[in-house]
Amino acid sequence: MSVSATGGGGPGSTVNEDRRVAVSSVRTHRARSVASGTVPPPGDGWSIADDLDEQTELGALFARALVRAQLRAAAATVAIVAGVVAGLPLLLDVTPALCRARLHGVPVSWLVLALGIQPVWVLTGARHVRRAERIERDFVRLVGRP
Amino acid sequence: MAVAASLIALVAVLGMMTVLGSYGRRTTQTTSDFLVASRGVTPLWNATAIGGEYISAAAFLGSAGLVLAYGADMLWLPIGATAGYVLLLALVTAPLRRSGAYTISDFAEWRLGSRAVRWIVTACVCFIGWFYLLPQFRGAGITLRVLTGAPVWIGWALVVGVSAALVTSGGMRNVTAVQAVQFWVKLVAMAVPAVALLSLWHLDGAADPTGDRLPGFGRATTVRVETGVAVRMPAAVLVAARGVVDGAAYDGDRVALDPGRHSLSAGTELAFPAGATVPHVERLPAQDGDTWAMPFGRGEDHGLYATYSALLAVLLGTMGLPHILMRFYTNSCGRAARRTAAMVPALLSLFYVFPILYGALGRLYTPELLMTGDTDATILMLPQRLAPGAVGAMLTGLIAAGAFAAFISTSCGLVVAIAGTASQCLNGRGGITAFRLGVVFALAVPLTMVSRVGQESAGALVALALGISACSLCPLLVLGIWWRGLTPAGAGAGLVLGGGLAVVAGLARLLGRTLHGWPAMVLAQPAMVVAPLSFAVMVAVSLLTRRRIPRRADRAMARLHLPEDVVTR
Repeated sequence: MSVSATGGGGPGSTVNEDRRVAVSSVRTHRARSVASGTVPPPGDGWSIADDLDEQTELGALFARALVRAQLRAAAATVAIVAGVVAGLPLLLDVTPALCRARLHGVPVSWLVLALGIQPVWVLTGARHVRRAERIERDFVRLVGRP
Repeated sequence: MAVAASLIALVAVLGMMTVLGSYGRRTTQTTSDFLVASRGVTPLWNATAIGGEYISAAAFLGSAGLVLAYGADMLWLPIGATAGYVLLLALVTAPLRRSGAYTISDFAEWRLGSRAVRWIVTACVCFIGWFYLLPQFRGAGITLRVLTGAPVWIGWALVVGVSAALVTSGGMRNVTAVQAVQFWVKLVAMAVPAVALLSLWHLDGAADPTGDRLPGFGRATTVRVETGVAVRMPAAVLVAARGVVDGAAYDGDRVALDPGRHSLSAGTELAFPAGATVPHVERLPAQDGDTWAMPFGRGEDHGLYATYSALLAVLLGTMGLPHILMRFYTNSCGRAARRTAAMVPALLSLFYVFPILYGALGRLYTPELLMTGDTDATILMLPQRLAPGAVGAMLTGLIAAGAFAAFISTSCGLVVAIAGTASQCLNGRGGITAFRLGVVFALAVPLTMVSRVGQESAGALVALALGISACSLCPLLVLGIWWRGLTPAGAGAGLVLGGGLAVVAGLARLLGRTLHGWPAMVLAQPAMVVAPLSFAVMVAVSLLTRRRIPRRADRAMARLHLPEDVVTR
C-alpha cells in the first residue's frame, strides 16, 4: 500500500469519505498500472501532468508530441533563414543588372543588404517566439496544470 | 588633441566599469552568483548585455575595415550575424536554459552522461574562446597605436589587465551590468560620429565612393609604414621616400614607383602627391569603385563558395559561442531566454548600419589604410581626416570609448566562459580559486599567440573562431537538443573530427599558407565542408552505437522541452 490513512474518520467511516492522507511514497506503481490499462483511469486529482512527472508511457507520448510540435516550428524558422541566406547571394550572382541598379546614386544591392534584410530577421524571430509560446500554452492547458 | 581625447575616453570607460564593478562586488556572495548572476536578469537587460558582449573589436573596428577593403562582398557578414541569433532562438535557447546546466560542458555531460565528452567540449570551448580573444587583443593594440602612437603590446597588456581585474573581482553579476551599459556606449559611439561625418562629407562635396576609379589620395598625403609590407602598385607614381624601398635607402629623394610589387621596410615614409593612386598591400585586391560596390564584382574564383561558406560559419557559429550561451543561464526560465534571444537581432540591426557607412567613407578619406594593411583603423582615423581640430578630436574620443568598450566587454565575456568551463572541469564543482586560476589560463594562451598572427584583420580572426564553433559545438547542441538518438560516442567523434579540422584549418591560415585553388579556398573557408561533415559523423556514429543511447535520453528530452510550469521536479 502506498497511501496510508492518518486519523480523521471515526470507527464507522468508510474509505470513500474525504479525509486527510499523507503520501508516504511516490505513486509510480499506480501510474504504471494506469498506463498499462490494468486499472481504470482515476477521476479528479490525476492529470496528464502527473503522467509527465511519473514518466509513464502516456506522459512520454505527450512529451514527444510537444517536441515534435516545437521541432516543426523551429524547422519553419530555419527554412525561412536558409531560404533568404541561400537565395539572395544566388540572385545577386546570376543577375549582375540588379547589382548595377542605383537609387539616388546608391547601389540598390547595398540598400537591400544593409537595410532590407535585418527587419526580416527581427520579424522572423518575433514570429517564432509567438509560435513557440502558443505551443507551450496549448500544451499546459492540455495537460491540465495551470 | 586627439591623443588627449582618446586618453580621456579610456579613463571614462575604465571609470564606468570600476563603478559598476564595485556595485557588483558588494552583492557577489557565492560561486553561483559569480558564474551566472543567480538567474535574475530580465530579458531586455540580458538582451542588451548579449548585444554588448557580441559587438566585439571585430564588429566595431573590423567590419568597417572589411567593407573598405573588400566592398559589397562583406555586406553579408552583418546579415549572417543577425540571422545567427534567429537560429539560436529557434533551436537552442529555451531548451538549453531548461537543461539547467551552468556551462555548455555541463550540458554535454548531463545530456550524454559522459565525462569524456565533457572534456572534449571543454577543449572546444577553450579553442573557440582563444581564437575569439586574439582579435580583441589585436584590436586593442591597433587602437592604442593609431590614437596615441604607443607600441601594440601596451594595448594587449591593457585588455589582459582590465578584463582579469574585472572578472576576478565581481564575476558575471557586474559583467552583466557592464555589458548592458557598454552596448549603449558602443551604439552611441558608432552612431553620433557617423551622423556628424555624413554631414561633413555632404559639405565636402559628397564625392561618390563608388566612382569609376581606383582609390586615390584626395590631397597630398605622407604615409608611414609601421611594419614591413609588400605592396602592389596599380599605376606608376612619383613619390618622395624616406626609408628603405625595394632594398634601397632613401632620404627624402624622389622615387618613381612602377606598377607591380614593391617592398617597404618598417618605418618607411612615402609622400604621395594629390590624386596619386593608392598602392595596395599584397593580400588586398585593388578594385575600382564599380567593382568594389558590386557583390561578386571581383569575379574571384569560387566567389560564391566563399560567400556561402563564410555565411554558414557565421550563422552556425553564433549558435555555439560559449560566452553568449552562458548569458542565457542568467534568465529566469526558458521562455525568458527565448524572448531575450528574440530581442538581440533588433539591437544588432540598429548597430550594423553604421560600420558600412564608415567603410564607404574610408574609401574616400583614409585610402592609405589599403597600403599599410591596418584597415581595422578606418573608424578611428576618419574623424580627424574629415574634421581636423576640436570637433574631430571629440569625435575621435567618442569612437575610442566605443572601441575600448568593444574589446574589453567581449574579452570579459570570453574569459568568464573559458575560466568557468575549464575550472569546473578540473575541480568538480569549481570554487572561486579554481575560477581565478581559469582566468589566468584563459588569458595566457592567446597572449602568447597574438604576436604571431601577422597581418590578419580582426574580422578574419573572428571568422576563424566562428568556424570552429560552427563545426563543433553547433552540431552537438542541435542534435543533443532535438534528437534523442545522440550517443556519447557519436557526439565525441563529431566534435573531435569537426572541431579538430576547423582548428587545424585556422592554425594553418594563421601560421602561413602556400596552397592555391580549391584546397586554399577550403582551408580559408572550411565551414561549408566541415560543418555538414561533423553533423554527418555525429549521426552516423550514433546510429552505429545505437545500443549506447543514454538511459536518461527520454527524461532529458522531456526536461529540455517541457515548459517549467508543468515540471514539478
